Amino acid sequence: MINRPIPAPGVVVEDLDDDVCLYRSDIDEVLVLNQSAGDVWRLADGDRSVEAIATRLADVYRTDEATVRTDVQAVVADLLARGYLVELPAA
Amino acid sequence: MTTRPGAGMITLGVLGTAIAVRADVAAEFAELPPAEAPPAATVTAESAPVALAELTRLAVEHSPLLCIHAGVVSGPDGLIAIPGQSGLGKTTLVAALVRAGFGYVSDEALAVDRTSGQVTAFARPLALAADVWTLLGPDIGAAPPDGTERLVAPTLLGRVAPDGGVVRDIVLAERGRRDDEAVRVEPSPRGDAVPALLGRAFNHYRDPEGSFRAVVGMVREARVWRASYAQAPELAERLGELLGVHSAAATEAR
Repeated sequence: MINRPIPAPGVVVEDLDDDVCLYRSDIDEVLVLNQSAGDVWRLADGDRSVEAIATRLADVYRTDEATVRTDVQAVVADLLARGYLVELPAA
Repeated sequence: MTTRPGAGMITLGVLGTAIAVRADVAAEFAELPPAEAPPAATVTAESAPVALAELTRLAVEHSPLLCIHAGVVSGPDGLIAIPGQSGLGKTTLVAALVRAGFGYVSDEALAVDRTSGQVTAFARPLALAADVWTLLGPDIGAAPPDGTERLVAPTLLGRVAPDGGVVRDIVLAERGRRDDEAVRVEPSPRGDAVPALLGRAFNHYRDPEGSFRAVVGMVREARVWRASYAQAPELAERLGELLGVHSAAATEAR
C-alpha cells in the first residue's frame, strides 16, 4: 500500500512540451515522463494519496477511475523504485 | 593554475579556454583562433595528431563551457548538433555534411554556455581514415595508407562557420544494419534528445543541475530528428534537403 508520494530530495525537474524531464545528479540519470506519467508526477505533492491522484486524473480525463488507478499505481510504483519519488505515511 | 607560453609556443583559444601548443604544430590548426589569456595548460607533443588529441583532452578539462561529445554544423536556421552515439562515424558524417554545404563547427564537441545557450566553435582539423576518401571525393589531398588516418583542414572540405550561434536542430543518428539500407529522417519527441545529449557530456559533473537545465533549455528551442543511415553522404544530402542547405556543386548546377 503506497501512501502519499512526493518528489525525492535532490530531483531536478524541468517541463519540456507536455513531457516532464527529471534528473538525479546522485546517479547521473535522466528520466523523461510522457504526458500521462507527467500528470501523475505533478500531482504527487505529498498531500495527495494515490487514490486522490487517481480520482483527480479520472475527473480530468473523464474516464473510469478504476482504470486510472491501476495506471497511477504503476507509475508511482516505478518512480518509487527508481528513487524519483518517496512516500510519506498516511496522514 | 596558469602558465606563460614558452618560446616557440602559441596560445590557442579552444572551448572557451586557452591552451599553448608548439608553433609548428599550431600551423596545422589554422581554424583555431589565437588567445590572449595565459594558457591554462600546455601541449608539448610534436606530432599534430597526438597534439590534437592532447589539445582536445586538456581543453575539455579546463573549459568553463558545457562540452558534449557531438558533431556540430551550421545551417540557415542555426546550428545542427549530432550527439556522438557509439559507432556512429561522427567525423565522417560531419565531413559529409560540410561537403553537402553545411558550415563546419566541430567534429568533436558541442561547447555551450550554460546560461546563454551560445555555442563556441571548435573547428579543429578532422582525422579521416582512408576508407572515407572515396565517400568525400578526390580533392581533399592524398588518402592515407589503409588502416591509418590523416588530418584534413576543414577548409578543404567546405565552409567553416563563424563562431557563435544556438542549436536549432538535433539529429539522433544511428547507423543502419545493412550497407544498402535507405536513409530515414523523422521528427522525434524533444524529450528523446535530453538523455542523448546529457549522457554524452564530458564535463557536466562540475555543475550537474546547471548542465541538465542548460540541455533542456537548448532542446526546448530545437527541433529533434531521429535518423538512420548507411552512407554518410546520403544522410548529409537528405538533411540538406530537409534544412535548406545546398552544396556548391548543386548550387552551380541550378
